[in-house]
This record gives sequence, C-alpha cells and structure tokens, in this order.
Amino acid sequence: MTAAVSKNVKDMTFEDFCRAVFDTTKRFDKPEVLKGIRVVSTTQYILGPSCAAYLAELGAETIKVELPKRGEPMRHTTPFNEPFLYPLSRWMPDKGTGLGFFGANPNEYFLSLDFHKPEAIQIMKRLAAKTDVFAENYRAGTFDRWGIGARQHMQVNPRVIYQWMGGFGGWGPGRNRASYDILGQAQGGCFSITGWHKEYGGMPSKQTIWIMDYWGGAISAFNILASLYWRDNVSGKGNFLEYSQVHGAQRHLTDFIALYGKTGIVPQRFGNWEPLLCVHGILKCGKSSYPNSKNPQEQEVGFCLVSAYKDEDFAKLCKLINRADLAKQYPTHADRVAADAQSAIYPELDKWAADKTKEDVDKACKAAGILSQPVLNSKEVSASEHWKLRGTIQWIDDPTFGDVQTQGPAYQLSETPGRIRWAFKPVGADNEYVLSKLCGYSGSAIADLEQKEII
Amino acid sequence: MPFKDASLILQCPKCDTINYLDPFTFWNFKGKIKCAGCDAVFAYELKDGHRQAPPAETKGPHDKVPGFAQTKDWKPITTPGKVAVGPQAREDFQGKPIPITKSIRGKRVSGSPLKAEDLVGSVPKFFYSGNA
Repeated sequence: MTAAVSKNVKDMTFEDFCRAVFDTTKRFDKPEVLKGIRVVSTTQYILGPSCAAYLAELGAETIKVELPKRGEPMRHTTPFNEPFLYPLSRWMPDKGTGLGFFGANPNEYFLSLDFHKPEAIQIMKRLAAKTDVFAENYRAGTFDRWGIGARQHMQVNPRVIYQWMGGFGGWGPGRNRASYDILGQAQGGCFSITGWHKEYGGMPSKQTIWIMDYWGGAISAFNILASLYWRDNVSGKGNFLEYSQVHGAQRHLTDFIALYGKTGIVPQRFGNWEPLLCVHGILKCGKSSYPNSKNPQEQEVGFCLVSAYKDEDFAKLCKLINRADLAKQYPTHADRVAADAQSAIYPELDKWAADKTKEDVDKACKAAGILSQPVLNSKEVSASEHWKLRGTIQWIDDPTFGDVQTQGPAYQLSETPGRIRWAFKPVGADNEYVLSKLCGYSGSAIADLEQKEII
Repeated sequence: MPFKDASLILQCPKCDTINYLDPFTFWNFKGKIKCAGCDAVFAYELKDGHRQAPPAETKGPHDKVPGFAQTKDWKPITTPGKVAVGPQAREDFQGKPIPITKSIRGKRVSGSPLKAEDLVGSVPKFFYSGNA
C-alpha cells in the first residue's frame, strides 16, 4: 500500500479507499507486475495476439514477430474496409493497419522476420534462448517442422514456457485443421444454443465480438502465469502448453452438457429469453433514442434488459404493464419459466414497450423497483463516465498514430496496475531495437538483413 | 428439406435457379422477387424467417432481387441487377478507406495515406506537422 493512501486508510469509506488505491491517473507511477518477463509472440488474428496482449498490459516485455512488409493478416481487416491508421510500415506508408488490429496488440515491440529463410530461423532461436515465454498460434506442428517449435526451443532454453494456441490441438482427429473464432463457436456447440427462438425462425447467431478468441487468449495467459509460478517457485523447468479453441468453446456450455448427459435433451436456442429464469431477458423498445439523428445507425429502435424472475418482482412488472392478470396466471417461477409461459409473457412485455425508448422502459422499471438496463451501443459506452473514470475506456496520445480511443485493462491492481502505453506500432517498427539488444546485430548487419528481405 | 420448400431459398419453379434470400433483407418481407436466372417474378411473403406460402408467379415490376443465386449445376450468378449488392451498414458505405485527419473529438490522428517522405523514422511526419 502506498504511503499516501495507508496514512488515512482507516478513515476512508470503502468507495474512497477503492478510488484512492486504484486511481487511474497514477497508473504510470507504479511498478508493473510482469516487468522482467520477456514474451516472444509469433501470433496472428486474435486468439494468440490477445494472450500476448494481456501479458503486455501487465508489463511483460512483449515482442511481436510478423512477416516483413505487410505484417500479420489482422492488420488488413477493418470494418467494411473503411478506417485505417497509417503507415502500415516504413516500406508501405500509403497503406494502413485496419482497426481489426486494435485491442490485441498494445504495448508490444514489433519485429519483422520471414520464417522461411534459414537466417530467420537462427534469429528465432536466439530470441527463444533469451525469453521466458514463447507464444504462437500457427497450425499445430508448423513451427516444429520449421525447427522452432517447443521441442527445439526447450533444448536451447529449458526454462521457456511455450504456449501453443489453435483450433484442435497437436493430437487427435482434428489435428490438421485450422480454426477461427467462428469455427470454435460452431464446433464447440455454442451456436446450437445461441440464436433465435424457434418461434422466431430458429437461426443460430454468432457472437460478433471474437469472444472465443479473447477467452482463449485469457486462458492461455492464465496458464502461462501458472507455469511461471511453477518454474520460478517449484521446479525450475519450462512447460509446453497447448490450448485448443474448440475445447475451450465447449467449456462454456455449462449446464447444457450435464442436461444432455442426464436426460438426453439437446438444448436449443432461446433467443433473448432465458431457459432458467423468467422474466430475465431483453425487450424490444419500439422507439429510437435518437429519432432525429442523421446517422441511420443511431435511428434503430432500442432494447432493454429486464430481470424480474422473483415472484414479487414479476408481480410489480405485471402491474407496471397493466397486466396484473399475468401475475395471477403465473404466480410462481415454476409456472412462468416453462417455455409456453415465456412465449406468452414476453410478447406482452414487448407490446408494452412498443411506444417507448429504451430509456423510457429503464426509467419505468427502476421506478417500480425492477432491475433493468438499456442495451448500450458503442457510442453510449464510449460516453459513459463509469468506464472513463475506471480507465477501461480511454483516449491515448499514441506516439505513432495520434489521438485514438481504446480499451484499457478491464481489471484493477492497486500496487501494480495494468496500463496501455501505445495501441500498436507499424510492422517492423522495432527491428533495430530488438535485433541489436537481444541478438547483437550491428546497424550494418541489420541493414543487410533488410536488403535480403529477411526482416 | 428440399430447396423448393425452404423458407429463405426460392428455387425457381421455371428454371430451377436457386435464389438465396438473405435474412438481412428478407426476414420479414412481403412483395415480389425477381428470379436471377430467368427474370420471372414471384410473389413471396416471409414472417420471422418463415415463408407463408410457396412462391406464386406474378407480373412485374419486382421489389427485390435475391442476395445471392446459383444455377442448378451450382454456378454462381453475380451479374449486377440479377442479384443484390451486399447489405450496407451505412448510407454512404462504399467499402473504400476514408481518409481522416482528426479523431471524433477533434484531435489529430494519422488516418490518411502517407508518402515515404512523410516518415521520420517510424513516426509519421504528418503527425508532427499536421499536414495531410
């Protein structure tokens, strides 16, 4: 605990105590919890990069290795091919990096390296010899074939934590297949339970954010930290870690797997309602919160979460929508959680909300003592003081790209907070820094590598 | 289920062209659809993704064309006018990079293509000078 805080800590309210110890304006005055840990990340898209990003946010010196010139594929993805940040690299100033690259690559150093060249393999081995963590998400066995896999690195550096991430794992029937977030959600079973109720068409729905990639990245970072603990406090040995995305996806199926195992029931999609609780879902509100906006994206109607599954809350909700008869018809939770009951209740709630904005619905529910929350969009989240105060959304003055809004760490550590130092950098921006510091290359040797298109 | 009975697929009774009705456009729809293969026009109605009756041939003009189509032997039909352009998220969407020099709050951001001489090391000179 810092001295300034500990002096008066006993007199503080809990809220003031939290505000003081987590003060986001003092993040850069405090130490970083993973300072001294070096990570080499040869990752692409989101699954692998997000793992490295979580470690970089906590202060690990993270070196991202990409193919020269154009970098990894995620740099070339951006919403509807519109927003880019320039330059892509010193070699391609007229090309940019798409915003798809955001969020999974902060605080990293960027090295370009063409793994197909023998000299590049030697550089990779030199890096592995001086690193604590090596993270990659190429297809299983690719790096092993190239001589830079777990086996080879752990011969050079027995203390390295080698984290492989991918679709199916290094062994088993799916071993040779590649994966993406959407494939993980499909094969893991997530789509079978996410999507429209059968009365609304029954189509599965994908989660638009790369939720299986970010989840896998977080789990991988978690396993890396556990392995570092085991290495430094127990064994002195490295570790070979494997994360399979499709297996990670099914880990979310929770009670559905148990339900099938016990009864043979195959759970189906239930839309924005909830099989376990009623009322506990999302209502469609018939009016837009921004009816006069020139931006059509803002003109869409709103949605509001309402949770009133306890008997007394449900009675309040029925009274609010002038349908006290529903409370009499479905007096207990067992009555109203049944599928037929939900099919009767939710349309009545939607009817009530049809002439209201999401704010109107939220205000009415709160006044009646019912839990509710308007479904916020990116504009509203960006404007929310709650996120800004806690530093989870922030504007940063990026040294390369200027004024950009980005997410900060979603957690708080009082003594060793995570932080965003920069959003990302152009391809190969730190070639000279990394190759001279870790591999002992001179300026002329680095220029030679560049001329031979090795970097 | 055969294609001819599927809700979001209109298999033309005349030429067997498979017309895919993308959910974004057709989820709730009542109107006339033009077959991408033979230009025949069909009355069609969908509610919440379920079709209400088999397609009935009618006279033009049509209201919509399918989002994607293919011939009976699986060759895609992409001719403009036969199939619709992709659903657009914004009215001004053209799918081309939009150069910007300022963020939404009015501060400088490197959102425009640069030339080699604009670079100082790896930092855009533009960012220093403010010249796009």
